[in-house]
Amino acid sequence: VSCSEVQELLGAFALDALDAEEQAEVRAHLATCNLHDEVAELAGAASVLAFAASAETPSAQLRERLLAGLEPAARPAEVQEAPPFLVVPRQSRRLDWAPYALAAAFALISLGLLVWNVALLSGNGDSDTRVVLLTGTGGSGAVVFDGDDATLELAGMDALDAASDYQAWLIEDGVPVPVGVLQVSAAGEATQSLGASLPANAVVAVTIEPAGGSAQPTSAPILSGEL
Amino acid sequence: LAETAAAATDYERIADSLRARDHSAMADLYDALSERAFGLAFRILGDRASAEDAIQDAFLTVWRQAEQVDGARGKLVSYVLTIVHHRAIDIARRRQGLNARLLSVDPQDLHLVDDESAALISDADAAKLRMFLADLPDEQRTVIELAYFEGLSYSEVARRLNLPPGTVKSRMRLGLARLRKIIAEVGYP
Repeated sequence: VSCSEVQELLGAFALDALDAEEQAEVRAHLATCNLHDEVAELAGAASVLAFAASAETPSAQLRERLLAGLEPAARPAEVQEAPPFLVVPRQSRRLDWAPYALAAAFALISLGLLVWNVALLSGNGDSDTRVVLLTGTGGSGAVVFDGDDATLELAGMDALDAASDYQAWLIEDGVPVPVGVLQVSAAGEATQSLGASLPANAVVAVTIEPAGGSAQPTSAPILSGEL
Repeated sequence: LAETAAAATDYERIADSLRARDHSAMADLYDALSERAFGLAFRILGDRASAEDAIQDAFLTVWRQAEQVDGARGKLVSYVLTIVHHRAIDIARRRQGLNARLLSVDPQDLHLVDDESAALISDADAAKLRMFLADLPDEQRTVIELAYFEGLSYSEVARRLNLPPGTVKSRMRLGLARLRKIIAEVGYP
């Protein structure tokens, strides 16, 4: 999408009323272009809409149920052994499982959307668009090239504890350069611009690092791919 | 009650405690926002059981993602209500046989919310906000409400109203810009 198309889409973007691929394109454009200051005000106005509904009181049991179901956040190493949903007390009621089933469904749908998005991009005959899939053990990822601009897109990423962050790297001739600490959404998705004109044969990798990221990787990549 | 409760809540402290995995912070957050969150989910879903499922799921998501919460004025409220909104819309769309749309709440998107609106949210007077919405021209309010409360994309809104997609896009943008202007002019508190 062009800069002027992005400008026209800002209202729909602020309202989350774009289709997934348009939303990703607008988000990627906003990350690299500072001509759209208006988006902050539109997003502010959109966030205020939550107050247009009248407040209502939920049942007292909901509070009890919610607080009883809290568990400490899983550390990455614990995720394999004891996913948090297995240790939630499930004695109480009807829909205890619902949030976890939803979360699992969201992760699956996210993966599907990523692949679909990638397939759309690959299959549209636009020679300026190229996709490199990453391989590894944590989540799924791809580097999407739009002309020279490259964006790392991840889905199905596990939530990390407060002491850890996912970090992206560009490895050229065996030398890793930090690209960014990734902000993973509640649905386990993350997007990171890799900039323009990446060196050919470079490797893009994702590692788990102490919170805030490291100057050099301190663990093996959970995802990587050669461009 | 909940119309003004938000003003007295120290969200910075709650955010700090959430990051420290303090269960009582979750109780405080729930007490400050549950009526607002439930009202929003109920408006979207129309039944109490589904609305409770949506907010339970949303608060658990906040707990799981606590390291991402930002306690700055209005940001935590905005984050929680955005998650509630997305969960409710997904449940509503699935119920109607539509594909899920609002999959993620990207905390980075919330950084887009300008400080003035965020401050407004933390002190929000819901009745006044509804009045602002009522001040919008009907055609702008309609497309905004279909997107926000029914979770329709702009192209779905265009089909529903039999309008060109470009018209819907521009009404959304103009409507939000106007709403923002009304908010800025009236000011808070």
